[in-house]
Amino acid sequence: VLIVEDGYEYVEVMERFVPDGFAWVRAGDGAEAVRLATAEPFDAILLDMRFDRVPPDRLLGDLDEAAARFDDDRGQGARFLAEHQGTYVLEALRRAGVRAPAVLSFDFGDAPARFSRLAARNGPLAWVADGASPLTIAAALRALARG
Amino acid sequence: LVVLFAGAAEPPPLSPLDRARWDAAVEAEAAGDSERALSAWRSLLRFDPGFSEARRGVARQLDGRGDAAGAEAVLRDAPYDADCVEDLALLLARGGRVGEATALLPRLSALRAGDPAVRLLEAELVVAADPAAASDALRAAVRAYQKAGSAPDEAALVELTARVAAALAVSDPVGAGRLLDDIDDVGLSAEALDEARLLVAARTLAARLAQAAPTPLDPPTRAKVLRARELPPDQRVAALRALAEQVPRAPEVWAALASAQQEVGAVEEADRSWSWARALAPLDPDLAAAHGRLLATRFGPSAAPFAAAALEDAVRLDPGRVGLLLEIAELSLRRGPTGAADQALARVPPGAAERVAADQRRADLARTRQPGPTPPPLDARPPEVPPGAWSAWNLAEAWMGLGHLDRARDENARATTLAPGWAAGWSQAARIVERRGDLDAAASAWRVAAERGGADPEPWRRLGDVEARRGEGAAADLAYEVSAAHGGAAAMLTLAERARWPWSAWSWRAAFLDAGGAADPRSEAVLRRVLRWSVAAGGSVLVGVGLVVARLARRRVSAWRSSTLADLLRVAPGAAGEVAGRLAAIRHEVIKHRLSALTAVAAALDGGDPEPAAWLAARLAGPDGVFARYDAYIAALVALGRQHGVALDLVDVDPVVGPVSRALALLRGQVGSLQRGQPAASGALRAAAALIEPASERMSALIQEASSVVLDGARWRAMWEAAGPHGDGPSFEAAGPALRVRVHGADLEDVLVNLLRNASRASAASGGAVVRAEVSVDEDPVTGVVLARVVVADQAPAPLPQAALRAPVAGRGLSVVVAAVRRAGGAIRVVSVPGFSKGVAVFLPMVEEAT
Repeated sequence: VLIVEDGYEYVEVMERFVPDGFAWVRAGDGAEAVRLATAEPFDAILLDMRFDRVPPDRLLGDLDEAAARFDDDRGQGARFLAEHQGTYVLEALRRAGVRAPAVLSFDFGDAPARFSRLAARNGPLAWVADGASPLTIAAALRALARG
Repeated sequence: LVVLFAGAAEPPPLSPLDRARWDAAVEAEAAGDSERALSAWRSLLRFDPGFSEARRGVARQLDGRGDAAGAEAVLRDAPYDADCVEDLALLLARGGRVGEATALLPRLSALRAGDPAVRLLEAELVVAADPAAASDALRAAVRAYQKAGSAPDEAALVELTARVAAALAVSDPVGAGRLLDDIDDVGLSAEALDEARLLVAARTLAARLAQAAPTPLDPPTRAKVLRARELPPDQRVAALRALAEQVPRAPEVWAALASAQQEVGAVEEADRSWSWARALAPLDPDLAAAHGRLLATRFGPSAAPFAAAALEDAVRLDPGRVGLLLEIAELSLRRGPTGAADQALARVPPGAAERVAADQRRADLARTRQPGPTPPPLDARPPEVPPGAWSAWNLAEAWMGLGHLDRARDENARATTLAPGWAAGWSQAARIVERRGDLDAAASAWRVAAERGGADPEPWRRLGDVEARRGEGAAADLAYEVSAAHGGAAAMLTLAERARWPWSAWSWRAAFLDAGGAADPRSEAVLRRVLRWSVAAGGSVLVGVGLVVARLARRRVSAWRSSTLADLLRVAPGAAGEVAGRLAAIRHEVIKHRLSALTAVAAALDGGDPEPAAWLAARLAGPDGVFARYDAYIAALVALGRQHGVALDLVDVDPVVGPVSRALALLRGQVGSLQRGQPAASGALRAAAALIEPASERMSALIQEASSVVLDGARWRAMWEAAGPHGDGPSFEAAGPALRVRVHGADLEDVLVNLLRNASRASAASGGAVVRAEVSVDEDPVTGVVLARVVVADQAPAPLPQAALRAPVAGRGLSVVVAAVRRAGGAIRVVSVPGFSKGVAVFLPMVEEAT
């Protein structure tokens, strides 16, 4: 499983609590994720949504376009990219031909239509809520990978 | 139990001669004549060594004269007299020997044949050292009373409960809240229960006030402090003093200034700066220790009691600083008798590294011990005040009474010179110069008196009065706040009068009632104002006035005193964005990333694997760990509340963040167990996980509720009417789906009314027939994020330049629109609409459920 996150929290937790039956590989930003996922096949991808700890120049997505949403305020644009970075990484992976199922760590409970649109565009896709335990995440990955 | 060494009981049957001795002893004791009381009790005891009351009387008198060791010896001579054993336990506990005191409890329990009062005594003994154990003992006592079918003295139980709850409130606010309900099992009268609630609320508030976070340093100021520390000593003092004037509530700045002043030898000024730092951060043991060391090393013997008091504070705040006990002992020796020094040394716990040195020192002292401490003189002169200062002070008071203020000032100056650390001397100096009308001098003198006065709130209040008369509003507020922090009810009332925000005034009045102001004659009037405001604030249906209602109201007041995030958003809708940002960060960095493994760690512990627990402990308590991050976010939210005059309680009261705070408090108590991998910690982990689990959802709901509005046909019509009158002007049409937009209602109204009014006026001026509003959904394909696109178009020929949206345009309301849209995280631009001359499009974040 490829874990894409700006820190090391998920990979630490998953390696520690779900060591058997999975091999975990971490990518720290979108570019690294694309490089790793195109170099070797993964069964599944675990994507974090917010990437606050990655410098703006390493965020995927068009900053100009994002800034245009906020009357050309580049600060707000960069924040938008960071807050939704998981979806940009997903988009980049799919564009690079990576078809492995992905699990987004983000609570879509109050935005089901948004999740449906994302899944239709860049599936197969599932989500786990904030604070999901490692076993819940592993179960979601396993279910998705089995189709 | 509560009043240590209460007065003598009724006499047993006595011979006429013994009866006369008894009466003499009781009478002398009541008159405060220690010499005569001691001699009468002694003669009674000499003739009957088994006479319990006489023995206790002798011990009481000895202890009152400072001879605790003598009192202890007398009481120890009656090891099977329950009353004497009880007195002995209290005496030992008061001397800090709580362990020895509690060791007496089994014997006392046997002597008293299982009397539940022994458990109350236990609670009394350990309340300061171990509040959790005290609350257990209190509960056990209540259970025992229930079993025995009897009831304790209500007043004593209520008082003790309040003290335990207050002590517990610092480490375990939830447990403190629950304590009262458990104690009620004994069947307290409604009146006592009310009294207890008030007391618990008051004490808990006091404990909280003492804990109240001072202004956290913002990064630029912190950087300035760091830069100032690099400067040469003289410049450093000047730079830090300027900084302290800019940021007067930051204890770090005052501490840095104090260190710098100390280094250049300005010890008086350093003393003052340490006092400010400690007043602002009363729970910081480092500040107390540093201040104590300065007083101990750089001031004369008269400062020794103050140095000892500061060091005692540091030990009380951090019982691990055993080494300070040795310093306290040396300071006590400067004042003469060896008893206090011996007591301080005896408090060094057996396992501590300092114990060897302490024992050695005690042995030295024992060799040189003088025969018994000299009893203090029988006048009212405090022991730390030299006789010359005492007489000068009295003379000054007499001159002042006669109206000779200059003579009073000169005489009092002798007192303050001879006893510079004595607060009463400075208070009198301040009163004298204040009467002479010299406000500058009065302010300086009150400041010194306040700093010397320890926890006495009165000099701080008087300082506040003088500063207010001098027109120094900020300095006055600060002095009043310090007075209030020390429990000064009068200052709380003044702060309520001075408050700029109704919420702030309200909470100071509530604090006044809780802090014992209920006994103040003004309390009824204050209560009425609090009630009036409470009713106006929309919360309560309080009908009728009278004792019962007043009690109920007071109870309500204590529940309302602390506010929730929802309260903050009601008072300050504009804060929604910042609150949302902090909550998102808490969700992301604390809940999601760090705490998702709680149940997994619990399962590992249950399975006998301690390693994940140690891993978790490091992540919780490390420098960048969960606790540190969470505390920073909570401090930011509390500061935000304070900016808007709302006192947020994000532990006990707030239903959104409170459970997370309590879960983290639970985890804080388990770090040691987790490090050691103790299986018992797994229960706490599961409990914390259960508290945290629903928090994320509550946070979303709060933000959504506080900051989203449905934009539908009804709202458009209302907005069009509000933008009128339109008279014979254009007609209005609205098209598109109903959407829920993530923007505060008042902001949305600003945006729509201004756009519609501009369109309507432009149309009316130029004959445009229709104003049209269109709503549609603008979707970002990559992120799936949707924005509501709201266009208001008109048919007036005058073009609207795009630039009009970039700068405030007077009279068109566009600046209001732009600001409101930006606050909501949206955008605004001029667009073209077929069939219309111009349109303004506003993009607003959307909440998904369309209605």
